[in-house]
Amino acid sequence: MPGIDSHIATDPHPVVKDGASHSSSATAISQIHADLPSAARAATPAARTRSFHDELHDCGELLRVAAVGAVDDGKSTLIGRLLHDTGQIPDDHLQAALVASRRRGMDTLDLSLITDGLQAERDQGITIDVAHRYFTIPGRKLIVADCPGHLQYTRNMATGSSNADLALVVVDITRGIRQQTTRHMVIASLFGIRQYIIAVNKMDSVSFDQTCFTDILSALADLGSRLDLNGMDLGELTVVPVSALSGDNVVHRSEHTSWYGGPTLLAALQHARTHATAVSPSNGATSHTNDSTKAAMRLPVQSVIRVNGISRRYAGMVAAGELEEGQEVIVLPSRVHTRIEGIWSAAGQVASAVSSTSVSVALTDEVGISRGDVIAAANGLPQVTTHLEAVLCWWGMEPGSTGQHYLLKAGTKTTRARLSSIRTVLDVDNIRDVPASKLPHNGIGKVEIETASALTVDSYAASRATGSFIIVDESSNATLGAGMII
Amino acid sequence: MIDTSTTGSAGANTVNTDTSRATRRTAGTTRQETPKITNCLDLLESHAIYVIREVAAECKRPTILFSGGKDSAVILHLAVKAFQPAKPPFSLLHVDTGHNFDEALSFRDERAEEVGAPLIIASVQDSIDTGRVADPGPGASRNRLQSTTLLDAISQYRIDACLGGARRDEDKARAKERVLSFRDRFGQWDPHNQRPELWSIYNLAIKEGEHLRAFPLSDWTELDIWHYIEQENIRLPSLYYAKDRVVIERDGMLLAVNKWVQPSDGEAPRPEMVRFRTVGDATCTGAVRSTATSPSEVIAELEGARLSERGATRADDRFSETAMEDRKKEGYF
Repeated sequence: MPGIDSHIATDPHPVVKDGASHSSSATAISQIHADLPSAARAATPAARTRSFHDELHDCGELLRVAAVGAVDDGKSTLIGRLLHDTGQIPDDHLQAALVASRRRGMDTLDLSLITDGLQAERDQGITIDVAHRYFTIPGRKLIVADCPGHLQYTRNMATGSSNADLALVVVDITRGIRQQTTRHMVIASLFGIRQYIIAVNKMDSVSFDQTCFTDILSALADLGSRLDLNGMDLGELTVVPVSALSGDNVVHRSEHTSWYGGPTLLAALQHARTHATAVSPSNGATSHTNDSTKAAMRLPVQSVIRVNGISRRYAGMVAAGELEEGQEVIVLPSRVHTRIEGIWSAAGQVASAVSSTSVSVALTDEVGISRGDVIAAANGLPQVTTHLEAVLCWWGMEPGSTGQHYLLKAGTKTTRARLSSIRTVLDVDNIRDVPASKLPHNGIGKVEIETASALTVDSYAASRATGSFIIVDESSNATLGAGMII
Repeated sequence: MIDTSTTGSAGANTVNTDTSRATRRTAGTTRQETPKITNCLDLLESHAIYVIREVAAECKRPTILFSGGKDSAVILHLAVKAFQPAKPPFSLLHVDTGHNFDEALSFRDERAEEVGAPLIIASVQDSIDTGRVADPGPGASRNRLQSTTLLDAISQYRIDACLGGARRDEDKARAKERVLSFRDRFGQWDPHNQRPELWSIYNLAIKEGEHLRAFPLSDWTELDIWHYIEQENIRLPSLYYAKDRVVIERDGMLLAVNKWVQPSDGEAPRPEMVRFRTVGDATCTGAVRSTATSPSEVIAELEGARLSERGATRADDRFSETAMEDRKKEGYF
């Protein structure tokens, strides 16, 4: 599979492959970091974090984490534990969670109440919608999307993972890799996530037994092989034995897992690749600049700004590659050639701008440009097409079926569209594509779509921002699905 | 245990990023080196501008909810940047509880004039006078009443999108909020049936009578806001900075004595060095003890703060576990 990361030099932890039985088989996992045979790394007594905020004069880099896993595996508790042990739960929130815990008949603090917010969630004891949590670790800011575990909330899980740099997968060691765990990892993989931290939770309930942990490693290697058979890819896995309940290996190294020499959950998060150092899915190389600087430049036009009623600037966010003054560009779909005359970012006039920068540009020629057009580097053209092949996640209550019409929004362009063919639907539990004629609620299928207007797109693997789209119901305006262009 | 020895490279990166940003800033309009978006504040700024531009592009009558508070000041600053050198295509809407800090009002008027944006003032007093809502009595919080006044204004001016400064880190109900959040014909938020929101593709499609709330600062924290205020030198009402103010202590909170907050029996007004972490309805916005008189001093204080922003300053959120959720469902900001 292209896109496998084998670059591990930046990881300060020596990577020890977990024995021949897990690493020799062909899998979609490029690396499992579990660091098991580690007599040299004796367990260190847990040291309380001293003033955690001392080092945080700047929010630094941004790491977007999707926290996923099956219901009741302890995801909310683990995030609560992470916040708690890094001293980042304000006293009033802690007090409120304590009061809520007592009201529910518990005599100790239930950390999951820190993150479960809505009334119905508290009543039912489950997470319904994505909750976003923000915290800082030295040098970086984390945005954690705490995603629901229940099947019927899979759309929210996709919401949480579409922008993520990393998936934190919580697994209950007493239950192993469950159907929903697999489903979430499959979806995360489809959305292009190529680094995973697997938090093997509730280690306390198996007395921190190493054999139980290695059983999970075997199951993960097996999952990797099954994904690989279907042409899918996970990338790099770091597997950490934890107890959210007692805090073992979350922030503080556990005294009960002397057989484990890998990072704590916090350390694993500290060393994960951020947005800035993500692996480009198109070429598999680790880049220490932006993840899509090597891709050809794309600037989808959001709006036209008139300057003094005479000249025009075109505003948008650089979706891929690097925009440069003087750059030769093509306006699509009209295919007019021109050059970039000037670039303005939030910081003022600049000579160039990398992807994710909101800019406005002036062009050397007068060109008719409107919202939805794409300004692209002349030396690496996207497809301009009315025919898309895509992986489509479907959340409509009515199944998606051939011949139906919808609205499709890709980047800043909205057009009418027709589902022209449904080829296969992914059987998530057996991880294979099976022939199908309809796309059921919560289904994921390979489809073909015809659009009324030409779209300027790339493959999702080459560029997330220009390779993705959403499907909107023409009458209710509901978001029915999300697609990734093959 | 935190292994600080392994954080060296990340720390070094941060310092370099800062320097490059600072260089770009001081360079003014001259040509600069390639900006690398590695700094999270740059990313947050860029994304917020993207959201603001999407709203302007797809909505007919968008407005900025502008209270004169720090978050709305940041939104307005970003909106100006998003459309430079043109004027931002938004009106400003202030829901006036009638219990305002004078200084926040004059700041509001000044900024509206500087930006050249039409200012709509929706008055809770009018809603009371016309019988839309009941007066909770003098000195009582009018926070909850704002929802009716806001929704009436949205309907009167046929506003289809409100840009607000709400952040997900403020409250557990807000933590569940989308960046682009749909409101039905009754202005209600249905947290259990939110539109999926993927990548940066926002679905802004609505029908007549429905509207959107857009939250460009969703992923910002209170500290991010202050770092940005410092970096951009954004002007704020001086309420946000410490000085000697006459306060009383009520329900464990320090309230500034003013027209609406008068000491009752047993409450001894006294001068204290305080500032406001939030600026809302003057009857229920608490002050915090502080010596911070500049953004950098505020940042230093916040880094050691033990209470959340709302926990420290908003009496209205203390009523129940779900106070904010209940208000939001009714149409609150």
